[in-house]
Amino acid sequence: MVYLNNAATSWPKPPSVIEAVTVALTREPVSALRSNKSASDDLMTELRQKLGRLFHISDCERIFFCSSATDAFNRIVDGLKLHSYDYSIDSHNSVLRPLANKTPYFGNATLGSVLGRAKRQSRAAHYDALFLNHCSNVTGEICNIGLEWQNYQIVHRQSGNRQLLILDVAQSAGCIPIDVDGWGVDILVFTGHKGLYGPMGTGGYYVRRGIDLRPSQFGGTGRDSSIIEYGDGDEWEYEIGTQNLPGLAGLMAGVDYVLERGVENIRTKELQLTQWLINELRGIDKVQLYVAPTADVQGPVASFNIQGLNPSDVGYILQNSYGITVRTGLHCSPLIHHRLGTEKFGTVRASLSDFTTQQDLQALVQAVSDICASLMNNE
Amino acid sequence: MKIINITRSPEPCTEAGWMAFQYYLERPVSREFIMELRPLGSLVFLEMLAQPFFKIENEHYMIKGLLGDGSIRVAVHGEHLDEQIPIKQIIERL
Repeated sequence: MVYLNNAATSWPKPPSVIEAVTVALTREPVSALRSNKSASDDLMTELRQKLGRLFHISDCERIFFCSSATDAFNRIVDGLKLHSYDYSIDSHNSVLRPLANKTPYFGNATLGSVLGRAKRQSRAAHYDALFLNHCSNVTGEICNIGLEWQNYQIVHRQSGNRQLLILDVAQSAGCIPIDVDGWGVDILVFTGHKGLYGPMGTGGYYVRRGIDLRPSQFGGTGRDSSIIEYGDGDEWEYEIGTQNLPGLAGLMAGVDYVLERGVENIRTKELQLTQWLINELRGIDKVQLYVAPTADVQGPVASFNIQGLNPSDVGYILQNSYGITVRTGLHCSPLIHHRLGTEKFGTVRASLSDFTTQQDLQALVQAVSDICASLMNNE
Repeated sequence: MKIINITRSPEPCTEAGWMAFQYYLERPVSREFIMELRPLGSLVFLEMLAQPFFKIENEHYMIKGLLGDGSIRVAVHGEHLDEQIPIKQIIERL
């Protein structure tokens, strides 16, 4: 079996992740701030510190955990008073759907080649926001954050509102270096189960201190239990309800793996393999590639189609005839397909992890060659 | 060919308006079986694969599978779910 669907969820996980989850489920339960034991608090604090190291966030106390990037974006769209926003065309539905369904003005968005733009007038709103996607889960193209942010600020310099850079690193965390403080990111959203090798159901977000993000959910936190209604001067709390400690224990083991391996080393290995795959696929007749324009902005994802077959058929053959798992379709990122001309059926996507081998990719290239040769034989 | 069981396919094609089903057959799919289905639509038959693939497609439905497998996938557009009835009848007559 060959697994090339790591942009959906990474597999296999490092053995240490499985062990950490098992230990967390096996030992006596502790819940954050709800017992006299400090183990859970220690775990979450340590995980914040490690994520701070990985993402270059000095104020790591402002990293909060939730169940997924989708969960995080819903909280952000609910909680910010947005006056206007722009968003990457290659954004995932975890961003697009909260924006489209929770703000009344998404339908008026204008689509450029890179960004969509939606505006409204509201006296209560005081933020203009740029939702940038760090790495496309369709083409693997890595965004030039500095350039996009600079252009955005030039366009919106007259607005009078505070401008926020909101960065989605669901596809890049653990695969590509991230520098939150250096890039001036205001809000960062990550998921735990892809390049960070944690379990599904883990993720989180960083919110720069001073940004007014009203929580969309309230409940028990283990802190200041006497407060029922938050008032002026009370600090918002974002981690409500019993936290997913077994999941976070697994996520910490995954983050440990990435820190020990070194994200630069992972990046180098994955880029080398991805480029090899792209070059091999490019040499096969009938293959149409959808990838980044140059290697320096190529993440560990590559999309392609085979002329004469739907992507779903290619995926079916790869899975059932060759035992190769890829993903086919729109990959929950519908807008970029309009730019690629693949909006009807989508693409076939191969996505790598640090555990992907050259042999895995050779198997894919051989299978694609077989399919194309067989199609040509039918002509 | 007797259809032993039909299940909803896990293939997530519902967002495109198609419903997919897995038809489990009493015998493995043979070349003859594929050719008998040919009148149902346009045929793609890729033989030079580790396991040969076929697909029969028309406007309302699609049948695909692998030579030698014990099941086939039938995808029907949501507006034409009743097309499954003649498909079943044709398969069971083979």
